[in-house]
Amino acid sequence: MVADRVVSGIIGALGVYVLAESTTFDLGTVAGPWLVPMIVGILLIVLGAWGVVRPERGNNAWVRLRRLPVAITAVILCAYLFLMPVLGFVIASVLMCIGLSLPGPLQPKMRLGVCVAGTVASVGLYLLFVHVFNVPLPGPVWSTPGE
Amino acid sequence: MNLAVVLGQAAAHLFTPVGLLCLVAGTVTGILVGALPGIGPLSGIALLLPLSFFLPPAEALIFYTTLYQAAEYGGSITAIAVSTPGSPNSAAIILDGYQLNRAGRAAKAFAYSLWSATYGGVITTILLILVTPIVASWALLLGPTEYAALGILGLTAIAFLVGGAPRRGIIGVAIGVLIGTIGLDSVTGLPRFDFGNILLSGGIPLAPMLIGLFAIPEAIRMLVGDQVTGTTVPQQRGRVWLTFREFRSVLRPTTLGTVIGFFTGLLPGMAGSVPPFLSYNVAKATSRHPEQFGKGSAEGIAAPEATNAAVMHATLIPTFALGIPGTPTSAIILGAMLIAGLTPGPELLARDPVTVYTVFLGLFFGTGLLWLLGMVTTNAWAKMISLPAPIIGISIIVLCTVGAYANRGTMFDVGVLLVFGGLGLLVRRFGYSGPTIVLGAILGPIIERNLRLSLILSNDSPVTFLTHPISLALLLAAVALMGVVVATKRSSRAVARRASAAGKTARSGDTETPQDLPDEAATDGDGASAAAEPKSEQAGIAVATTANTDTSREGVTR
Repeated sequence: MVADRVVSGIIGALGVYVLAESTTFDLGTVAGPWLVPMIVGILLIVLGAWGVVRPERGNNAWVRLRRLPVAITAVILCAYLFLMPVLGFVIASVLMCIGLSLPGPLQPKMRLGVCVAGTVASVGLYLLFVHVFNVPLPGPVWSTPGE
Repeated sequence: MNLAVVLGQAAAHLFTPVGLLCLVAGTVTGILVGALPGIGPLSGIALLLPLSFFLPPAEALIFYTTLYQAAEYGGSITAIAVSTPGSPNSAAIILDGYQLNRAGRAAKAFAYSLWSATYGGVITTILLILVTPIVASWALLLGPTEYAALGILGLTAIAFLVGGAPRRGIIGVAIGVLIGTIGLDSVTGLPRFDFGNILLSGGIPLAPMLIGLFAIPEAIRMLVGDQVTGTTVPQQRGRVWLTFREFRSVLRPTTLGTVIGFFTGLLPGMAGSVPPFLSYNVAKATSRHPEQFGKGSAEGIAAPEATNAAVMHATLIPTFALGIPGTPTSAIILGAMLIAGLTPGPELLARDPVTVYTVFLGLFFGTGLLWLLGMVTTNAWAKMISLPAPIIGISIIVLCTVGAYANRGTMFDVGVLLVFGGLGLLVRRFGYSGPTIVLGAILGPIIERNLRLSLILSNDSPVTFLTHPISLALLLAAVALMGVVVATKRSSRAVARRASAAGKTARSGDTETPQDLPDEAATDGDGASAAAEPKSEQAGIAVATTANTDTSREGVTR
């Protein structure tokens, strides 16, 4: 219930931003570029306010995830995004796989399996894309030959 | 052009090495993607969307549509083998398929499933070939006013039927439409919500957005979700084959399922896990042996399986003929068409009929191929689904990264992938619907363009939507749909409240509290009816909810 209130508040705030931004577009005609953003902004404000006043419990059938492993995963993926241009696709991917094998509730054998599978997938995709499809992958190391 | 001539040219296009390769690859990948719990056709196609950059349009669409078709059957393999549906659409198959498996007749359960999918697939592919040009010719008569109204009806159906609770559904669609407005305005060329970033001027790139929303959350769940073992029973090997007598015994429910699936698939927002349960209930109500349902009835497998196949083909009719996808998966196929440079809608059939019919013929022959492959390989697939989820999860993340980067060769798209991956995770965590966002993002620009064109043509008069009869009828249908959904929800809540009150009266003196009721019944949430009426004849939806919840709790076999 509290979570729905918070999410609804964020949605309402997004609506306020969209509404404010839409007023900066050309307002000369009814069929201007402001029309749809303004409708969306108003909808988000109304529905956000509705959620704050009358929150609902979500039908959350999706598997619940623990916050800490998900947060660690998010940090690792962000680091992956910034490391890839520096280290190259293969090295960054292998490091990412090692990192992602740590936070989940996995058996030690499975952690090793994740590292091995990630490495095989990274090298396999690198060979497929760079050498078969001739599509360059990011970074200076082990990426496009001659780049 | 004559249909026979077009079909001849389409056949010549299909029976080339690349066409046949895509047909086989799509079918094999589809069974795999469907059989792996947690992936399903939606994430599977999203994951492989970058292939459309390397393939010609017709071949790419053959690959995706046959993958979609085969994934529906693949989902049933998992449902029968380990009581975990590969996709939500296969949840109905568990009820009797898994029971037949437990009775030591897994091969027969697979056979009923496969043959019904093939029967439903063949009939509805023929209907797809015949009906699509008729719908497209009608659509050519529609102007921007009618098109905008049709899009609004589609979005209303999606918001109210796909998104669960109406408020959450509308929010999902609104956020999708907002995403669709990012970039240069298609009418005036003015930038909107692009924060001065030139890479956003063309809008949010479709492939990273779709991959991020659907594949990344699944991959993270596989990696860091709780390890729970699915219910498994020893697999009995045997021929995936039906005798003529066995097939005849399920012909009636299979035909019923095909008809129900075809008509529900035509309606935007109606496809999903509801039609298979609807046909299951209809098959049970009209069966000579209703007492066998839930205990391993062949009819209970055949009807929902045929429905799944029929729904899948029927959803392609509005996608190809109108450019309006009815389901999230068909929205991704529509996205693949856009990436391949095709503009879905009636003009596509008029301008490039050979490409469209090549895809439809591919589906027809793909159905036959699925039947053949299913008979030969189903037992092997049933064993393969025990592949550990974390291994699949890490491979998906690496594949997603390459897929997002490959199209434009920019790290910005990998960033989009991760941002939408995070959004997909939050959307699921807080009970919103990812598909409503995607459908809003794809349909939004189409509606906006037609809405504004019709306003420009009518000198800024919104009354134009009420003076065009077809547009008026479509808008009234949208209002009626909203009314029906809201009224149904209210009556469900009333029933839940009465059931809750009756339960309390019956237990008066006991120490039990509403906490003993399922969460949804204890509140005025949307699962109220399902929780309150598990034994009613509305059990279609009730069982759907129960099955989905149960299977999600069971998790993935590791």
